[in-house]
Order: sequence, then structure tokens, then C-alpha cells
Amino acid sequence: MSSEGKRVLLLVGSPKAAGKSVSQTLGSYVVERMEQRGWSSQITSIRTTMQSEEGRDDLVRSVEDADLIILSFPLYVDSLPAPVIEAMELIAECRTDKKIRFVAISNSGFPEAQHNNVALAICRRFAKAAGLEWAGGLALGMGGALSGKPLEDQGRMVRSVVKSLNLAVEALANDESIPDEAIGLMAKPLIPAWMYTTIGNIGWRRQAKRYGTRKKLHDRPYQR
Amino acid sequence: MKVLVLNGVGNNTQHLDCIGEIIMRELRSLRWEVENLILRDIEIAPCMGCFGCWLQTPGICLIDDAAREVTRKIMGSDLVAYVTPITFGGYSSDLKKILDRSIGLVSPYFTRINGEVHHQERYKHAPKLLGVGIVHEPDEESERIFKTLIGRNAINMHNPAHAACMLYEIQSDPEIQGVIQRALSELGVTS
Repeated sequence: MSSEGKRVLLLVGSPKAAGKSVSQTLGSYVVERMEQRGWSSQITSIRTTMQSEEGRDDLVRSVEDADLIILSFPLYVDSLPAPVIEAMELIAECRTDKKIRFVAISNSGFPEAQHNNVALAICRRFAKAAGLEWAGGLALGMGGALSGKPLEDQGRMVRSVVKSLNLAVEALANDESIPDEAIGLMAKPLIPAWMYTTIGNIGWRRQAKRYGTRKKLHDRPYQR
Repeated sequence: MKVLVLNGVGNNTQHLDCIGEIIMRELRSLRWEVENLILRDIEIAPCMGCFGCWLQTPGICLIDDAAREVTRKIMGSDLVAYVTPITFGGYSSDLKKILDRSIGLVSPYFTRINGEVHHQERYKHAPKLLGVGIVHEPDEESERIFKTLIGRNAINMHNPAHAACMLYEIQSDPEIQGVIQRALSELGVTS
């Protein structure tokens, strides 16, 4: 399949700065490999672009210029972060009938990837409402174990994530949907769940110590 | 007893305000104290994802804006009603903005609920949760997503009871009242 002139747009749904966001790490991995296949690319931070009228106009234009959109976001309260929903509302309002494929990658801090299911269902429903062609969704659990560094620098722990994204790239570059194997690999626990939650709970205590709040983590400031 | 309505009807969907008023009438008929927050009129910054509300000022968001008072009101209520145009099956961005800013209402620590990992509760008494989704006309997929979302939120936010109901723009006032009454009865909320 010819990739000449094809364009991929990565929409990063994390409010964190570039280099600190797992959402950007996952999305960039795909985009870089699409570039190697001759695609041109653009990376847009939704948080930043939604802050101005000019940014909103740019977002609408970027969407219409794309052949493939990848939305990569962190799971917030079982759904997508508010600025991402705002961007979706805007995109759905402004869409033309150009054929554009749409993929979502959701990462959650809970160990089970299934926490992302509702958010991905929302993405799929958005695609339908906005006239985008749904090409599949990937759900990652244990997002807290990853960092904003490139995946290649995150060791063997992320090997199933890398395999999943490689399969996704192969399919997307060939105008196909993300295969079930890629979905399964992405959902595979990186480490045992008990280990993740134990390390996570220790991590909260360590970080709180740095702020001098270790004994205050259970505070109830709004207790009635 | 107190009811807090988090009304997520946005600027682009203001024609739904009349449905919001019917909902308010039904809630007021309980003779509870009802407060209606029209979220589009309240300046609330989006969550920064910094976890400061868990680590730096436990239970309070680092961003000092109206969201602090809204989250305080959530915990001071016996029932919280999310009123929202169903947006791709989920909440409107106006409603979601405050929900993103409410994660300090639970603890950062992990626990297991029904075999699945969630965050521990911070408060002993969270309010009951009523989700009211408004759609133009029946839409099975959106309704299924919305009901699941309310159920998942109730687990994560430790709401002791929850109910989700759907309203259609084409429904008459008595039909809307009936739907709200049935949802309140499901929650065991009576005057």
C-alpha cells in the first residue's frame, strides 16, 4: 500500500509536559514508525491547543489534513480528561466528509487494563458521531510503571507493549484495523498485580515523605 | 438532607436547560435542601495530573479555584446528581472538568473491590450518586456506555448507591418527572 502523501496526527491527551507523559511515549512510538514508512506526521498537545481560539482552529485544520488520527490519553475517572472531551466536541462539530481513520490508546494507573473499556467505548462512539473510521483501541494497565522516556529505554518490562505497537503500526500502515493480537498484548500485565500495587503504595509513602505529608495522606479536609 | 446538582449542560446545549428545570422541580419536591451548580458558569481549570491533591495537600487540589468549594460541597451532600447531555456516551466536558478535579476525594492507596484494584476511600460517608443523561432520542449504544460509566464511577468514588437514567428531548414533562421519580426510588431517596 502506498504511503505517499499520507499524514498521521497524534493527539496527546495528557496535560503533562512532553517527555513526562506516558500518553506521548506510546503515541510517539507509533508515529515514529509510521514516519519510517514514509508518512508525514504532526504531534499536538490537546491541553495546549485548546487554550486559545487560534489553537482550536489549528486543531480542526490538522484533523482535516490527516489520514489517520491517533488519540493517546491517560484514563481520568473512568473516562477521558475534560480537555480531550472538549476537543472531541469541537471536532465532531466541524468535521467534513473526508475519510479519516481514528485510533485510541488509553493508559490507566490501575493494574487491570479493563478499567479503560468505558473510555475506549466513548472514543468509538465519538468516531461514529464525527464520521471518522474507527480502526481500533488499545488499553494499557499499570501505566504508573512506565515513564515519559522513549519505550526503547524502558527495558524488558515493556516488551509486550512494544510488540503490540509494532503490530498496530504494521496494520495501520496497511490501512487495516488494529489486530486482536495487539489488543491482547497491550492489555497483558507488565508485572504481577500484587507487585504493582505493593510498589505503588510504597511509592506514595516515599513521595509523601518528600513533601512532609506522610502522616497526612489520610486527612479528611472536607469531613462534615 | 442535601442534594447537590452538578449541571453539565454547556453553552452549545442550552436548549436543554428546560429539562434541567424539570429535574430541579422533582428534586425540590423531596423537601431536601437542593443546590444547583451550572458548571458552564463556573470557572474551573482542568486537572494538571500532578497528584498534588494526594501528596502535597492531601484531599485538596493544588489549583486554588472554585473546584475546591465544589468538591467540598460534594462531600457535604447526601445525594449528588450529575446532569449532562450524553456526549459520545459519556459526560459533557463541563461536567468532566469538575470530576477530574475531584480525585482528591479518594485516597492514593490501592485496595481491592470485587477482585479489582481501585483507590481506597478517604471519607467514611460519600453521597449517593444519580446520573441523569440527556439524549436527543433513544440511542442504545450511548445509553449503555453512560450507565456503565455511572456504575464505574460509583465504585471508584465509593458512592454507597447509584442509579443512572436517560431523558430524551422529545419526552413530555410528566414523562421526565416519572423517569426521575423512578431513579430516586431506586436510590431509596424519599421526602
